[in-house]
Amino acid sequence: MSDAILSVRDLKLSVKGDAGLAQILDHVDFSIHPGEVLGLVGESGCGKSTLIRSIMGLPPKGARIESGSVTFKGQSLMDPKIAQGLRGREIGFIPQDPFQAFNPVFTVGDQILEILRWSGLPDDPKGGRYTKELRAKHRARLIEVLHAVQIPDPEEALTRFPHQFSGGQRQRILIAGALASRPSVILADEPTTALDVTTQMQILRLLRELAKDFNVAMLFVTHDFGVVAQICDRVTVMYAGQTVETGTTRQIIDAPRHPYTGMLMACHPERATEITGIPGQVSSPLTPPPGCRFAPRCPRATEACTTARPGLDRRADGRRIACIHEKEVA
Amino acid sequence: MTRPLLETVDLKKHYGGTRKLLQRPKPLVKAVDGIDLQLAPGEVLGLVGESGCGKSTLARTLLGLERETEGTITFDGQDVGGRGASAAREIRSDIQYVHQDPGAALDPWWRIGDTLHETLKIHGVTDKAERDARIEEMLLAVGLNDSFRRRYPHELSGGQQRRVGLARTLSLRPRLVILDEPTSGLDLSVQATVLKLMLELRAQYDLTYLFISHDLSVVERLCDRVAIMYLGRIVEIGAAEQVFSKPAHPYTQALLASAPTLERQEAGKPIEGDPPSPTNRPEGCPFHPRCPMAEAACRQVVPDLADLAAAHRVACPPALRTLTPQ
Repeated sequence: MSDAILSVRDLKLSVKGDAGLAQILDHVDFSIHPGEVLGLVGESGCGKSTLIRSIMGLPPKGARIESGSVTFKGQSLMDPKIAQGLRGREIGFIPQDPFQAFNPVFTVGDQILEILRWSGLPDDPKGGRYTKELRAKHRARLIEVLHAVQIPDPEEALTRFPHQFSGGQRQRILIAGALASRPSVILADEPTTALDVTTQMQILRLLRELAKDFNVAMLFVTHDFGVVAQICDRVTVMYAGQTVETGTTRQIIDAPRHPYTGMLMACHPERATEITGIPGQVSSPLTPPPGCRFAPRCPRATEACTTARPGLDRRADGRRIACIHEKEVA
Repeated sequence: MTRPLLETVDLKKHYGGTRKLLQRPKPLVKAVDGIDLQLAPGEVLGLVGESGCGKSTLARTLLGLERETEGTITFDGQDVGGRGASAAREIRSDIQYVHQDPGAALDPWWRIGDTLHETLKIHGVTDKAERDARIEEMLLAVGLNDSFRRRYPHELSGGQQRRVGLARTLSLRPRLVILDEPTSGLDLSVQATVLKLMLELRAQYDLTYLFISHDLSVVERLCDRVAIMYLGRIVEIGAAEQVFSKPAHPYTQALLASAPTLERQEAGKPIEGDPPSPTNRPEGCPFHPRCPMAEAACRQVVPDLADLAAAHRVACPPALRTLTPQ
């Protein structure tokens, strides 16, 4: 589709480490459209974090992109110069842990204004000096966004230190920091896992409204399908570095078609008829199985699955599935 | 009812509130403030609450790692309260604990086998052959083969580390096991296998579980009864299906409404505000500042648990009034 704001196309990435060449990502493919919340779901070690870092133009040390592309509005994010110019300005980031994201010895206002100083607002004069007037302008914008994330008395909040806020309030401030520069894409890396459920629900609803009000696209990384159901419009599921299925939230949760998605949903306490789990273990990225990486654990696997990687094909119901057996059913 | 395995009456654990020479007084924190709890042999009791509600302090006090400020603890008919740390641990060796983060609970420099031996040595099993036999049995019971003895913690996955944690605890042959967030940080598929294992082990070894968690869907799935804690007090306790299908306390209702389910929850306002800190507890019912049902009396009197139905108790007079037929 042409109107995608951020697209990851056939991304294949490997990291050279002490233990050898790890094939972390293998043909990851998805795109996000303006105003849409896309959930990125996968278990630990499936490459979510490497993917997020690659999108920000900060791939891990020793990483090599073997094929594919990451583009933002047509510009390649694999070019470090371009990525640096967009990061923090056009592409915002909400971290996982609001308790670790702040430096305890500076006020939250100083810390967020520092970020704005370097990323700048879109209407800042180009190449100008950082003047008092500019700082005052940034401050005014930050106060405006703090109102939007429902921080009481933002003026006063800017002068306080991180420990004076609860976890939920700190996460709100970080969200405000990400939104201040009017980004068109926000990457949210499990922004609610460190919070209690009542706070989590407040933050999820806030993010849902903000995505609409500010018309930002959001890539929402999580492993919790309950959270996905609350906030995401579409979901893309990853297994061991491969994209296995992409569809609307209801499609993925109610009628998963890829065997991995199906087995993962069956593990959810709400859906499980009996508690089982998925037998076997995720393969090591050092020695990925040829073909479909889920094949060794898949009950439907045949010989064909172990020879060639299944293509991520679009199906009649609009979703994309990487499984040769689903093809026959559809 | 058969004799409870564990019973606490008005258990309290307060910190601070004292003042040493030339020091500023430390604020009084009522981490656990009047808990009456009964655990029947063989049951799984879920203990649910948000961070800072006193779940972990309650667990530590039951284990004897903290000395209770007030109240009694009875284990299997015997009074086990009122002792210092080492005496309390000795008399309560039938109560054991599975640590929340097994990666942090295993010494990275020690092979799994050495760690398991050490545990048994500390608990007075001096015969090496017997230790070996027990370790072999427990590793097998948690689904790990004997080769794991020679491995180091970093070679194990999160799920395997939990299994070692369970094996270590169960090798001491406890009767009551306190599981502190046993599945937090695990992936969905691994979580399912660990939960299944815990249920199998309970049947195999006649265990009683106190299951501390904030994951409501897991608690609903696994527990016979559930207790909801808020700021050091139990606000509702009852059979899991009753509490989940007919939550009576406004806090329980808010908690259940906030837990993300697989359906999108549009209706119902999320509960406002943050949990108040235990250093700055409101007067009266600790929940009243956030409670939609709060009335004048709630601001003054701390409500006690009262019967709502058979095996369903709730500490909220307004809820009791509306839910019980006059």
